[in-house]
Amino acid sequence: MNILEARNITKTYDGHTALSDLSLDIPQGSVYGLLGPNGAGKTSFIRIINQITAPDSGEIILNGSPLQRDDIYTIGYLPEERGLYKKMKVGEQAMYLAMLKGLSASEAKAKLKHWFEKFEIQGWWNKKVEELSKGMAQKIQFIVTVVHDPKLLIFDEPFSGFDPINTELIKQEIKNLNENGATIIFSTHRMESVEEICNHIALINQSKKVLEGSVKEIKEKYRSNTFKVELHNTKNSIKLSDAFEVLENTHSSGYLNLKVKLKDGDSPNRLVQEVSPFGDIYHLEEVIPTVNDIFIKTVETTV
Amino acid sequence: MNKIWLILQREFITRVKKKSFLIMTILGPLLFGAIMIVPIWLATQGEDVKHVLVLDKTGVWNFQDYKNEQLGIKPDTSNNIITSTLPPNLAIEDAKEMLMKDDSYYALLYIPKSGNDTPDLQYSLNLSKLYGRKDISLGVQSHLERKLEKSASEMVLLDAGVSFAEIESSKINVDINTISMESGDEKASATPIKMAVGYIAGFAIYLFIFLYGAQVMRGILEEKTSRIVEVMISSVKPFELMMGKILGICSVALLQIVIWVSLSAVISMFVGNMFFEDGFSPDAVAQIEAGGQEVSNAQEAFIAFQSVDFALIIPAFVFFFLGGYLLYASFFAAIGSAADSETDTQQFMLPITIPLVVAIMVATKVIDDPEGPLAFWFSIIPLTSPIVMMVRLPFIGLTPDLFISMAALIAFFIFSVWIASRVYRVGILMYGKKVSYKEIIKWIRYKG
Repeated sequence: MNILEARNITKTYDGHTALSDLSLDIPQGSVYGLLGPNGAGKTSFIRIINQITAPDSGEIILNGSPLQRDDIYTIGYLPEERGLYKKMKVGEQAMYLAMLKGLSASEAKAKLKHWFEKFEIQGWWNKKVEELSKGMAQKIQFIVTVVHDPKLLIFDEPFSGFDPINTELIKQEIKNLNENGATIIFSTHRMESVEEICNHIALINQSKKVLEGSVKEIKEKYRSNTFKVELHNTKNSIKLSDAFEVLENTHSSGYLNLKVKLKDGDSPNRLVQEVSPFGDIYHLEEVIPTVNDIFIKTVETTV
Repeated sequence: MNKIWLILQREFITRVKKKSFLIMTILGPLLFGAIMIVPIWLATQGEDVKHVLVLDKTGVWNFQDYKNEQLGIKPDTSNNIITSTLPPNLAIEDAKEMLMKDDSYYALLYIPKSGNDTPDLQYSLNLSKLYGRKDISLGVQSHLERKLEKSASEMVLLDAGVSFAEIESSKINVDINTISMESGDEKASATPIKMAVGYIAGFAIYLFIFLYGAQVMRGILEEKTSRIVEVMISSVKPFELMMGKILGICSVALLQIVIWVSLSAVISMFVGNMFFEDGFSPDAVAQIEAGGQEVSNAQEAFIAFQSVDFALIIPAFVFFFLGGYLLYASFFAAIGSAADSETDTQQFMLPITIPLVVAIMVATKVIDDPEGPLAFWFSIIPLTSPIVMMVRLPFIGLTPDLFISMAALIAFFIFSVWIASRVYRVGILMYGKKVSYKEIIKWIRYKG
């Protein structure tokens, strides 16, 4: 089941097309990567989900029905451009933002207390935001994004500006939230940063979706039957049958590194048989394309 | 609505808690009190007395001599000017030297003698000169001129055979008592007080619009530069955020006005008691109104003050303050959203500033002619009406003009908020872009 479906979303700004006929399905419980270079239209799409802007045409279906104003209470959004009121106290500010997400004062207080304890930052409650370091402020921003237990969490470039320790902490918390049933959307142009956590992705380029699906399926689709083989104690020259295409052949201090493409869907076992006469097999692995590779490949083929 | 209320509360509380609010709230009425006290105090202190030497070659002008005071002749101290008549045979050069040597002298009036024997008044006056140690104030000059004119006409009359007693009895002092027939009964008209009340009210609105409108603009800029704005509008509609801010600051302004007015009232009562010790019991006022009794200026002012219809003016002030503030604050909000920094706002400030400044300039004309076409139109046009109508109101009272003006203001306020919200929703998400008027027109047209 999909928590969110985008149907034929088009949005133009003053002659510039931000999104053109974009359709996406975001499965319930997934960690969904919305990937693409800067200016592809990711933030425009997210703003439409958050009802900050409205699409020119098309619609968003959330939990089976068209998006409504009250849906903002079930969404948590950490924008790329994020900040806090500098002169306010941390606690007051968190309470304010939580109450704007529809929590009552007592609910907000209880939930914030829980999160402040979890991050061991209870002592910050009466500090002013301007006294916090950047990393500290980021924790507060994360807390106010998730405090109202949203079913759908949207992070726009979440790790830009986060230090490595905070990044790990936040990643872990996001995983926990996902395990507890929340659907997560990550939007980023740094594709490698979310590869390990996303199980679904969509690639967006120049306002259009170029690829969508589960990471496994996509990788399956884009595997090229290419393997890396490393041989020890080799003879200097190596000749393989026509079923194999050697893409790379490098020799260094008694090791031979090969990149071989299997034609006709041969199994890796045949490759083992083929290369074993030439030396001891030291290492063999399939070359799996990164999302980045896939993106570049897709963009090249679609252009 | 609930969201607007939450935002309003935050805006209100954070501002009221600020030290600057406390300081302004206390200093405001003190300043107001000072404005009232200082002129009165200065008036009681008396001015510098200016000592003018008179060298009258004709010997016919009856300037009293300051030194004759000891002889029982009262010196001429009106307008704080005293004169000393020099011997007519003193040379003008010596007189000038006397003036320059002693800095207790302010000026030297020189009246030459006509060439022939018969004294020619006009000739002497035309050639008379006033020498000053420095530039001579207009007050001194006109005082001396008036004095000479008066004496000259007296002399002409005496020459024509009119007796001195007749001249004296022809001096009639007139001070017309103006009566206003407005609202049926006859009341002493209170034009100066009405002028003061109207102008103060109009100016207060002008001041508050700038003071608090700029706060709206700065608040929005702060939200933009601290990058909280997108976090906010994922929870609330841009319109709610904008209105919450405008209304929050509005409530701060109202609180401040209430405190100022009540503190000022207390202070002015205190001042009143200090300077008019006899006080104003209702009996005394009734007696004065019944007429026949000699009335002091202060008492007159007090009665005139009572004739101003505060039951109309105070609610109207609140209405026009709210209307004017909301109208201009929405423009300030639009500017704040379109800019990235305070310096960026300058180019858009001019169209807002001009109508306000024009209104204040027109206000001085409106005081002279509250029923004229200038007063009428500027008190109907919503951009100037909050100020100009307040200036007019003490004179015109509850008239159809007031309701036309109010209706126009409400209609325009709805329009300006609509325009502002269209600009605002696009502007707050726009960073690093130099915005032009053309661009803003485009934003207004964006749908959705």
